[in-house]
Amino acid sequence: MNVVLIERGQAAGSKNVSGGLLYSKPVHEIFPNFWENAPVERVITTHQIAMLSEGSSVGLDFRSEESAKPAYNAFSVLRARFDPWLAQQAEDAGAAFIPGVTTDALKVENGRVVGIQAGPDEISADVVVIAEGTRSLLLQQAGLREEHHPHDVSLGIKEVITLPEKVIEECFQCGQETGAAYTFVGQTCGIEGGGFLYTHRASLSVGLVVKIDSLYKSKMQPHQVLDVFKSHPLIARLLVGGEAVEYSAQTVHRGGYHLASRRYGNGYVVVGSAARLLLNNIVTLRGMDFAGVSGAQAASAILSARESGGYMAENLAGYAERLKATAIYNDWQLFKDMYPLLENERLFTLYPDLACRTLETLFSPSLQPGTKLLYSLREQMKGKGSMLTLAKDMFQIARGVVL
Amino acid sequence: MNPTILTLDARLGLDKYEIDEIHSHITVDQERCKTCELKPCLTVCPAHVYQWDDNHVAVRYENCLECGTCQISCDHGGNRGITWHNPQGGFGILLWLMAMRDRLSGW
Repeated sequence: MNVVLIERGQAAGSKNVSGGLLYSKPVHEIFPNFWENAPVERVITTHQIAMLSEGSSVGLDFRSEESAKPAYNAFSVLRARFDPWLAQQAEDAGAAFIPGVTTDALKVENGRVVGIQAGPDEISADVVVIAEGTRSLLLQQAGLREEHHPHDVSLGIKEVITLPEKVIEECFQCGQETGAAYTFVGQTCGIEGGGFLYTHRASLSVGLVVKIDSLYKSKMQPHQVLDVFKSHPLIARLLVGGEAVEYSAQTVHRGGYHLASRRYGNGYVVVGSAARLLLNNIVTLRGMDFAGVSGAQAASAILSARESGGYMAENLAGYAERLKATAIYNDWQLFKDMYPLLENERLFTLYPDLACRTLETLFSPSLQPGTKLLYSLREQMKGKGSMLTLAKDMFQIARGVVL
Repeated sequence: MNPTILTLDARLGLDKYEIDEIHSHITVDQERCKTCELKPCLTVCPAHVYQWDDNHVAVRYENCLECGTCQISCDHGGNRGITWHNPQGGFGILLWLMAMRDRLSGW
């Protein structure tokens, strides 16, 4: 089988943006012990989730020695370093890697994808694996997917900030090889979404993922929202002494079980973000491992299709079956109750504020007579929602994450 | 003051671009934009590519980060005035780390 890998950037990774967290085990199944050769940054052994309110924060800090052992849980990666390695694996396996070529359109004849158009050049193929990312312009042009709705898509923006290794290790209390991943809710100017901060070897990735409709309704520019977020004392302190070296952006489909779209057809399969294979459950945002798994399943399905004598939809249907048998599908079903939560605007401002103020009351003896927790909660909620709303939301959160 | 907080222009200055001087990968239908009420492109773009200038949308496509937020916003919150294509092969943004990769061998 002859495989051509077409990349529109000058080199692999020159256009690719991701938060920077790669979940290890699914990738380990494709590339056993990949961490021995691949340019990974740090093994993530600390996970923090924090709710931010103006000037205060409340967080959960999870540390695990277990995730410091092979096959690990997650690595931080820089795509500019990781992707060339990935492209090399494809080349070593016999694929021809062609960078610097933009695919302008899918060639469709008689209801079948038969190749691609790149400028004046045409390349014919038995089967086209579409891995064009969230935007998936080619699929849309060819009428193979419905239009994106700004309600389902978020904008991710991030910066890479350099810091000396020693500073990172002190600041994040980690070893030479280990690091931390932080997830934040709050301080996004009321916009639905959240923030992240990951440690690399000698740099940090810090950024936001905010829903597009919520963003334009806010009338805030994304870099201004990022500034507000980065100015929060908890974040600002982690960035002290750092130097911003890269600014990038990417759209992120929220993915999910209920948004499953058609992922194969006559002469084509769709993988990764273009197939909306992402999972966002606030605590984790997974894309790269899903992309890898879908690519591997697509490859297996194509080989089976070849044996069955063609590459029409019925030959490639095994791809969908294979995806359903992976942990991806399982995780989607597991977290499908998270999705209403991501639309609950109280989660993004009111509750971080509430949590911080309640703890403020708890920790700070005042000159005024004190109150018990439930009473102060009720005081904080005044004019913003009833205690019943609060109870319902807490149940929804519990249902989405725990039950 | 947080020293990592930069102006937008300084941020964009961190990235390297191979600019296609002849072709813009973004086209706008100014007639549609004139009657667009919300004009979401003016706010959602992380590179502030779109600016309202004397009754038309000025497009600084050379600063584009290629995220696609503008098109998605325009199609639903706007008036479908924006048409966005991928830049020609090799053109457009070249992320800093990539551009400086050879100098980062110590990382």
